Amino acid sequence: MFEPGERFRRLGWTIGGLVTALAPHMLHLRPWVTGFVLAVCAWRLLAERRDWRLPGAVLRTTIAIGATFGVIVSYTTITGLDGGTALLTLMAALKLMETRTPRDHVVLIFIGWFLCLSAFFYAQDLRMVAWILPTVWLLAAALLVVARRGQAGPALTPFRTTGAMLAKALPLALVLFLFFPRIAGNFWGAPSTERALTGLTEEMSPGDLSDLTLNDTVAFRVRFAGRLPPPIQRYWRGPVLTEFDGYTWSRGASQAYFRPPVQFVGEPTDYSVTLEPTGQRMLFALDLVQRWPRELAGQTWGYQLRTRNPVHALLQYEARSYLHYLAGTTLSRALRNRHLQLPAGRNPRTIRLAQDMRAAAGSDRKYARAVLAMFRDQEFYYTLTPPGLARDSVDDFLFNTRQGFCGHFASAFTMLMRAAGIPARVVAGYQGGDWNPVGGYLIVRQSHAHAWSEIWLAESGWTRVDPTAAVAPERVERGLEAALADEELLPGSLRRNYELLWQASMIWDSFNSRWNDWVVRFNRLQQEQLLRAFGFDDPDWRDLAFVLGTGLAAGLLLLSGWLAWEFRPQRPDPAAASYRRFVARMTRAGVERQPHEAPRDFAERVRRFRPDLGTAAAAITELYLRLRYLPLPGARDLRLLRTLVQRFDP
Amino acid sequence: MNALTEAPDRERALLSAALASLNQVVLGKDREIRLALACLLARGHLLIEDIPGVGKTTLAHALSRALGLSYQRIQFTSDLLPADVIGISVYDRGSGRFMFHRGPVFAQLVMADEVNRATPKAQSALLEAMEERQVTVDGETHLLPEPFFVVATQNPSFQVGTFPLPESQIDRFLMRIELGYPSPGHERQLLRGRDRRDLLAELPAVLDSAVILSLQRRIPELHASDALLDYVQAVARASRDSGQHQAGLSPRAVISLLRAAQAWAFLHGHSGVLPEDLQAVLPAVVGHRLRPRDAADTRGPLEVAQALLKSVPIP
Repeated sequence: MFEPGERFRRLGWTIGGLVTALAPHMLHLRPWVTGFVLAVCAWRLLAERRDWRLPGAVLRTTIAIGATFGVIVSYTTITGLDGGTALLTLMAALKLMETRTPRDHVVLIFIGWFLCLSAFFYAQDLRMVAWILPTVWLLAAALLVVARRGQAGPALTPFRTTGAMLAKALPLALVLFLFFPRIAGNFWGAPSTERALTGLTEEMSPGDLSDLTLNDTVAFRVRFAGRLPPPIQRYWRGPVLTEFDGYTWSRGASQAYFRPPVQFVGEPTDYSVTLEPTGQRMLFALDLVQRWPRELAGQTWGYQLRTRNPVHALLQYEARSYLHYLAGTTLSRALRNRHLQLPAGRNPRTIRLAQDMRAAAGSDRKYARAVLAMFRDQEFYYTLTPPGLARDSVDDFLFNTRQGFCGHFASAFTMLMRAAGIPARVVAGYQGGDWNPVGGYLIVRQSHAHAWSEIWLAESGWTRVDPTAAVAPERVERGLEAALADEELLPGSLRRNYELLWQASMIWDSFNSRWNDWVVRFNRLQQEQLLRAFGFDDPDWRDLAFVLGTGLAAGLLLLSGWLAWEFRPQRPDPAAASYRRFVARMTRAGVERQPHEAPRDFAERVRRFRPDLGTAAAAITELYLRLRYLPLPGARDLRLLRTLVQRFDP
Repeated sequence: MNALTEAPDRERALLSAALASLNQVVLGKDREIRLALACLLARGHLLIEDIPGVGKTTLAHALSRALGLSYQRIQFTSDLLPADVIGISVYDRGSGRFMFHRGPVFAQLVMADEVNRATPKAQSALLEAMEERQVTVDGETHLLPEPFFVVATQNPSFQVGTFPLPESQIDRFLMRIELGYPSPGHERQLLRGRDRRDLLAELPAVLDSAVILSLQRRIPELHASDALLDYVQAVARASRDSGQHQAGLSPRAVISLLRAAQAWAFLHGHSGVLPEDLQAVLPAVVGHRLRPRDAADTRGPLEVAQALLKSVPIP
């Protein structure tokens, strides 16, 4: 059927495409799945080379059942995203065992495309796109190689051909992207319950944040309408933690309280946040937020923004904050009690220390200052790799280890305040952010995760106190790196030493941000906005269908126009047109010309079958030949031919 | 209706006269004689393939007589050596130097009889001379006379003891024709008529080499319109894309096709090449260059060429 070399070549293309499509999945597939698939690919290529027999039906069925069983064992299911992808991948490998006809190759290539699609369930960032788009192209080229039997050529030719084809499909893809009805809800992020997202949670134990601090991924990006607030005022409020069990701070049981009113002071700061999926129900806002999309989230009595559903997809929201404010000048008894809660019998030395210091200080404010002074003046160290803490974590930290980062200090400070009768809580969130001069926005990464304290004072209400700033003021003013001793290393892009690399990473990030803004975040609302821009006042699905239909029609029209131009017929020669008319009339009269028949032969046949027309046919033929094949035809010949054909009426 | 023909000049008149006298000797083969003449005018070489005794030699000899060309006949046999074709250097004691003795290839019309009976070595000596139009012996180059026209005959290659010409060499012949049996009427004329050899001897030389060279120069200048070139290229494309042949027509074959069509048009007094001119020469020009892809295809060269012709509409 095919030459052996040709078969091997097609197999190489198909397997190459499949493995490339599989690559993004290898990060999350169980190692045995990846290993099995790669082994089958290698075996299949060898089998083709060495002319081994492919396994029979019994063996294939056995392996298929075994693979399904393996998926059930490792993933407990065969339907979910992870299990489904694993099963699909394994079945692709099994299909490889029975690839004989081109149709089998086509099936494999389609599986490859499906794998490309499912890769987007795991990540939708530019890196993934940069991998998947060429893969789609490669698979298309492989399909071409499989379809073009026996026509070997340079390896680049299939890429050129399919590249041109994909380019032609691009306008249609664009129309479909813009106007195809968007499924409301978190279609893309739907199955994310299965995967752990890194980021803040509504719980904080000693050491929790240090993992984050080494994590370089973007938490959210912020574009400011006006001036960028200085680093020291960039506190992005996240979960407010009021419940302390002696070791872990948590949000505690929800309970409805009256939210203490806030007086905003000074100029507002407007900004828009593009939040990466967190899997949590929190939004982040600059302290203290005044306006946010109410339909998206509500505000707790701790001024934390909480969404109704976990954020599984990229989310963008506008917010207005005031950097200066007076929050909760009165505090209800219930709230006061809640913010004084301490677990009974835990951290006794801390409680004693607090009572002693409070007595010595005279006022709450002075006491808070004294505690900060203690952190600053005594031997406390800021480090990302502190030793572990005992069950009474604050005691252990204050009196033994004395090494820690924001979480430790915030925890200890808040505990010290509560023990002295001052309402206090831990606020987790992010602090600072990297300014991207390329894109003109702020990047807040996981490494900017931070924890600080809020204490309630009679004259100023809820007041932010950042004990980390007392120990390592650089952390707050200049960023994490400055706060650390030299030997503590941070991952690549956290280090600013490499100016060029830093610049490149900023450019890359601004591409990512654009990608998020224009593509990933494009949802039903965006679609409606676009339709409004097209002049639809109140767009509904009918308008969408109309625009979609029009767009597709326009795209197809454009394509057909291009095709028509590409394959445009040669401008018909006027003499040839006249001659064709003559031939058509002869056909009606019963003498049909064969396409390959020379004009004079045809004229001769006409003379034989219709002697009455012979002379006229010969005259027309000679004129036609002279016009079309001889040098310098007479000026009147064409008109004469036309007249002759016109009058020719068999 | 003479609108398409050019006013006959002296050279054309002579050509017509030569055709007429050739027809008197070789009976009933007007078309083949014209093809042979067209082949000569297009500066090509001719391969006649047929069983013995149908008049191949007579045609070649008559051509040389009527066209006034010097004539040599080489009978190819299995022991023929290249030197027997192109000549040999012999030491001349008088002058003390090697003297080149020209072989039979040094003639204006060379009749290579039964080329497929000689060894490939002897065949290639002739074929190289055909291509180069010169002979190099012992580092010395000897130009062949002008015009130089080889008429090779070949028995159908299924006969015993033959070396069929390889594809690359058969391509050097511009045309390949078959003569076939005469019609009953012409056969009767042959039976009744005088011995052909006597007629050959009496055949007057109508043309001479100067006229032929001048005619040869006029052929490539004959008008070929865009419409006709479209047709030529359509034929070439069909031969390449149809999948019926082992290989399509090479550019050299396409040029040969056009030249042959021009010569044919000239021979018929057309001032430009007509589709019918192309169709007339096409089987002879492409038949031996196309091989059916399917080994089970038993069609002969002419049938393959006819099928190609019928598959291409005239644009």
